[in-house]
Amino acid sequence: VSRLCRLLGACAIVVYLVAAFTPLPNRLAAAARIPAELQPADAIVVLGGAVSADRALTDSSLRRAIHGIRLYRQELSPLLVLCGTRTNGVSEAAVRVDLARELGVPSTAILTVRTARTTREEAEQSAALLIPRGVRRILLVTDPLHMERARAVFVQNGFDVHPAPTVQVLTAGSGEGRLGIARDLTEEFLGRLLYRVNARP
Amino acid sequence: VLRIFVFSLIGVTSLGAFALGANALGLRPQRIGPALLDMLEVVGATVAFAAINVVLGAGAILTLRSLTPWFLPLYLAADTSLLVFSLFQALTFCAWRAYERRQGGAR
Repeated sequence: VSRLCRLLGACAIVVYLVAAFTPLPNRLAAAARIPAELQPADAIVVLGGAVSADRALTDSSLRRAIHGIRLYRQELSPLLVLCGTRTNGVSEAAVRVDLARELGVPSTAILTVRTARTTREEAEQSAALLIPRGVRRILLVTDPLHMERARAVFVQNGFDVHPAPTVQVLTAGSGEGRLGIARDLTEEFLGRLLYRVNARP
Repeated sequence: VLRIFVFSLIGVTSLGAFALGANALGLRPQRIGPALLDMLEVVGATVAFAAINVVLGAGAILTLRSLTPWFLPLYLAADTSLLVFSLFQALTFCAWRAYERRQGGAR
């Protein structure tokens, strides 16, 4: 047991040093990034993040919402779809709708997906909402590392997806930043693995 | 700059601790090697506990999702607090083994 633990400990320290003090996480993130394909679309679909009990959107949720609103203001689509489920008694979609209205998006241009809790549910509920309206070509807004998995499930649900990834720090200069990127990469890798294992036809 | 700063800082405090231990506390310098191996053991045990916690946590969340109407996000299983608790678990486990070894009871 001691030898195994020591070997595991040595490996963990090497992995930590590589993740925190070399550019490897930045390079892996750059390789995993999907380039934006910004072009006119039927709708801009902004995936959810999370919201706190005091109605504060998380960094990821705010970044995605602002990016979606910017694309709408650039007149790339007449429709802005804001996703976000209810957590801690607060609806993320409702908070995002308020933000979008304050930033000049008319209520008539906003649709919401309010009960989807996973990326797959967001894709399914977006399809139920949009495809009957004839919406197929979408600009999909999410963080760069999440884009590949999100695009796959939206394509699976019948959309013609054009990625519109947010601008996120993926070239961290600090050890803490690189460890954060390494953590995001690991989480996304496990997410893709889970979606592959649990793929629905 | 970051690397130079961090490694210099850690080098200085480590050398300071070594000097303090060897001179003020009477610790034998040649025991630093076994101490480093013990440190690796605790780190390894922390990783093992963390992996078990994450896998069991994710499994429990997926089971709950499939068998009940409850929904818990998978991100809960990757919460940083789990890593801290894994360290506590590892420290306790390794200290327990070391204590038993001193008493002549551990394998």
